Amino acid sequence: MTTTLWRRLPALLLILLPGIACLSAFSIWQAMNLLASDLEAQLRDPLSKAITEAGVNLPKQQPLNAFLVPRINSDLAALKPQRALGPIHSCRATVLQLRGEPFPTKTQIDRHILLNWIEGEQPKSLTLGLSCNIAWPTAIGIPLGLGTLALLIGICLLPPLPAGQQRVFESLIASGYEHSDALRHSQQWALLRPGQQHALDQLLDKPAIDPLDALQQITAHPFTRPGAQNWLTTALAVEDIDLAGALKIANAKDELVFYPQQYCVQVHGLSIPLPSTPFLYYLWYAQRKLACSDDDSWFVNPPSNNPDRHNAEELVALMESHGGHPKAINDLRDKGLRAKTLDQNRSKIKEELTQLLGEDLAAPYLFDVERDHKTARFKYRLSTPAARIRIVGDGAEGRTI
Amino acid sequence: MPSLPILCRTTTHYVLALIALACLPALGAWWYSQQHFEKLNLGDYLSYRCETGNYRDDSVFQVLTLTSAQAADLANQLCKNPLMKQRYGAVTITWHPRAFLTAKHIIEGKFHLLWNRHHVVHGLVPDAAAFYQAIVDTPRYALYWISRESPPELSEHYLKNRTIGFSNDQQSQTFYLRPMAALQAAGLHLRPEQQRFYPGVGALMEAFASGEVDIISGLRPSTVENDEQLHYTLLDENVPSGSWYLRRDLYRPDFACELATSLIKFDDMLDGPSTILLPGGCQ
Repeated sequence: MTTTLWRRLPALLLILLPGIACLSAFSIWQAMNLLASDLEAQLRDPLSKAITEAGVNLPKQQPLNAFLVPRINSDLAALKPQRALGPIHSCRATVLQLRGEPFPTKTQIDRHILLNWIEGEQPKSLTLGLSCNIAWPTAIGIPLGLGTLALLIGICLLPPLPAGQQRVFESLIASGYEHSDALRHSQQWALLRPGQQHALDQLLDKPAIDPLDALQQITAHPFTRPGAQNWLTTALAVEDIDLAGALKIANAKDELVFYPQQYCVQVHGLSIPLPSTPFLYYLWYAQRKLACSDDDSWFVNPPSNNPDRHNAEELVALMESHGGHPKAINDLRDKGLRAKTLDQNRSKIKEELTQLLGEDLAAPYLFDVERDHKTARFKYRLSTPAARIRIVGDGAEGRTI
Repeated sequence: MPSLPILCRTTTHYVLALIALACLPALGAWWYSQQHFEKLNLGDYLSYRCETGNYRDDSVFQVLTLTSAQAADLANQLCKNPLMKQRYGAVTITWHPRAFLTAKHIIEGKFHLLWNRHHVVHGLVPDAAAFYQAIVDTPRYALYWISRESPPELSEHYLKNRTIGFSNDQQSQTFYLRPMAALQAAGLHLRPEQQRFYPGVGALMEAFASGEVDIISGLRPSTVENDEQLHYTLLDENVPSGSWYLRRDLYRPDFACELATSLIKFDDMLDGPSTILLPGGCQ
């Protein structure tokens, strides 16, 4: 917190110091104006009346001026403001002009006060020069104190965080982190890529995930692959997958990996165990995809009255080499490869993948279907491009064609 | 106690908070600058005081006069007087319009020495002599009508389109009583717009000098600038200016004589000599 606060101090001081100078100057200027107005208001009637009365029965007023001016100067020599706490300590007023007769002074004049009145039908005037002593300690001290107070409060105020950072901050607070630690950690949010920020937002929705753990781990995963957010959502929904695993899946390569020994496929890093027979049919389609060009990998469903014996043998061999179910093997031997069997196993594969991944994520790893022009029957091939198919633990381990 | 730093929920809150913080010192400085003077008490500009040098006696010799002209000089003269010093610590001279003097002042003897018209003093208290003793008659003087255009005449034809200035102090012999009486005696009745009244002698003189009025009454020479270009017509050649009255209980021949001697030194205020009224004069 200290770093956060003091980092802003130089900029705030740049505002504070000229501000205090302006406020001090303003308060002195304003106080002098008010005092000059107040003096004028207090003197306007009584002083003009006293001057007029003093000239009773005098044919010429000039000699009286010399008598009056020292009296007036004496009366106005020590003018004290009512409130001691102010920028002006004391003032004095001196007569500069009375009824047209000048009375020069060497005193520095801060404000001029002009009093006008009528004697008989003749206008008369008196000009006073107001000189004030400034109480510099308070004239500077009060604005400085108030400015410093405002500065200290200003230092302690932070603008609202960006929405994402605010969410991280609140999650950290909710998880029991100290205010200052939460603020410090939340600043990492600004360093994340947009994909990472979006993914973090998802993670913060999961009460079971520690927000700091999520924040720290997510920095290791770029979230630049298309659909990474959806894969993260899917992975987080799968039991037994922890935060690290979910992040790995979300950022995994877009590939379909077969593990024949475990009857398991790994789709975008997410392992999906399958029953042996659907797995081996899935593997058979994958091998076709790897073995042939994209157009040749189509397999037309055999006619219902004429099972495919040749491909049945290929499948039997595949199943036997990977410990396939004897019933499925016997069935193929006895009855050949039938469209119905193929349809059932593709359906099972689709069911298993869709159940876990949802239709949208599963679709690229399932089957394309078209009607064959020659036979008018349906033909199928694996949707996944061969380049993104791998078979591990087989003769073709690591092979990508 | 909120944890620091405080995070604002919205940008609006943050901006409002910053504005409030900026206003804090500004409002503080504004409040801080709201200074006013303590209530001012002006001194007395109608009096002058001097010390006699007698610091054991704090009694003050009070003098009432009609004008500030030479008032301070008179007070200083009295302060220097050894007899005054023996009896008083200070002399205060005060000047007011004639109407200031009341019967109560005379009966209670508020002033030790006062200068006023005989008719004013005795008009207020017919047996004023029981309270005050006249010790000096100040000089009598000649009073004139004064005009800038031509020698003034007390005729309807002359005054037809002219205005006359008067003092609004109806006890003023020079500027109200005598000129009004002269007009009355001549059977002349001025229209209201031909009569202008002014609050003091100074204002009356300025009105005449500026041409607001055509005719005034006054002494010769007048105090108006370029007096030599003015026209004078005698109004009254023997106008009493007044008398100095000493409070009767203070009357001692030697003290009264000292006072009278000091007072006649200021004869140059008016033409002619003052007259000491003490029986047998001053030795």
